[in-house]
Amino acid sequence: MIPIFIGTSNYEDAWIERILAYTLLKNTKEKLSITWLRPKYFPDWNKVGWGTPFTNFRYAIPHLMNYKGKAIYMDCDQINFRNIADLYETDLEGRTFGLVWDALMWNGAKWRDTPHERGFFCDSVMLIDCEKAGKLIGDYEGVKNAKYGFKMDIFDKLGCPDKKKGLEHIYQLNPRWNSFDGNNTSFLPKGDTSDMEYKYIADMQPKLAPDEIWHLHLTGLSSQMWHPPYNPWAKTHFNREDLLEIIWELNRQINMITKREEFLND
Amino acid sequence: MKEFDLELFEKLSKAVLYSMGNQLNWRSPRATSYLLYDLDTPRQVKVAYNSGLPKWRELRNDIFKEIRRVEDIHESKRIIKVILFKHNNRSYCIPNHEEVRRHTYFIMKDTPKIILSKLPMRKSIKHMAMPEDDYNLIPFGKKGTAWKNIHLQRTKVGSAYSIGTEWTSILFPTEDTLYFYVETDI
Repeated sequence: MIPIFIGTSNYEDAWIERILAYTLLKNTKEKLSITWLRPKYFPDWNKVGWGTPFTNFRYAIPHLMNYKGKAIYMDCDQINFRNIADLYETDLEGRTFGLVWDALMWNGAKWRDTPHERGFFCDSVMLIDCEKAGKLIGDYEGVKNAKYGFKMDIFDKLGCPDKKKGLEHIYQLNPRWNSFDGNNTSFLPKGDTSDMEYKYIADMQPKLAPDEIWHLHLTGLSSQMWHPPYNPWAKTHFNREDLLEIIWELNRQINMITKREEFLND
Repeated sequence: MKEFDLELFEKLSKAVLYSMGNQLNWRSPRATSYLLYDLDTPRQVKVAYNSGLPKWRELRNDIFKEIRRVEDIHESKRIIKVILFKHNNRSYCIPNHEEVRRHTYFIMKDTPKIILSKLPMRKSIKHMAMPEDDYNLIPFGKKGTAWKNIHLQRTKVGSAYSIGTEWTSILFPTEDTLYFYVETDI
């Protein structure tokens, strides 16, 4: 049984949740234990300043796993294309987390004009050693009451954003396990990108063909095609027609199952 | 008010309601909306919004042709926005008002009466469940007809609540009202 925890909203992301769960089950023969981390299940948490409805829930996973074994975490805005058991069975080689390197992440003014200006391990797909992570993260009450920026508190302890230091505790996963909008997430375009907007640099990253993507992450809040109502940003087009076609086909397959009568009457 | 090819639009609305997730749009707060097409994309985004819903891709050209026919829009003019709205008992509509654009509502249901409330907005929203007497029902057209420039309908003094002006600036469509909202060049 592979324990998978998915950070999501109460109901606003239902459209993509179905696709994520469907693809996870479709691409593996292993039994999955899927736990949805929704705000309504954590009513007394400090959620002030969170960028999503589920930002810090992922750090409760060691506690929810009773600080034993391995677990996978993922955000809900993702679609699986490869057997998730392959991720679960990744040898962490004694490290705490398995994470993908996000080469474009801007680390703020503190790191401007340093070698660590850009690049951070992303926690939107995580393979977690729950015993080790529990010791690092601390007790459940601490996570529950943590202030905004808790991720940075944890990864500071691991020496991030210094990648070399981070790699002592973090196993770097193949970027295909967390492909941001179909790109090679770990690729940093050459040249000075310090003044460029994220979107323009992301356009310079290599685009992975659909069959090269193991796990797709729809990171653009504006271009998420289900447009969750909590998102205040303008709605924009998801500019990968090849992936759009696949996503809508998956949606059609799910409707055949979940709305069978309506589908047959169509 | 003009009639349009209802069958064509129904094919699309059925597919939208069946396949798409619920969205929000400020033009009709609290209603469910489904964005299909939009040329008003943010400056840094190079691509116009064009939903990937297969039925939209299949019917888009026919829908555009029909919009042009009904609205008598020349090929050189743009169709800027297509959104499907579905109202509920808490939602309301803010008719858009821009001099350079035409805003048309393609009515999809038989119960499309629009309520112009005699009460201030807050009270109106609170009292949507009150008897019909409280509201001034205006015919919003039957199913299969397209209405444009709703904001230009003058409300009679005392007959409807209008925010700041004498033009219709807020509407309370009845529950389940379904229409395609279309913006075009004039």
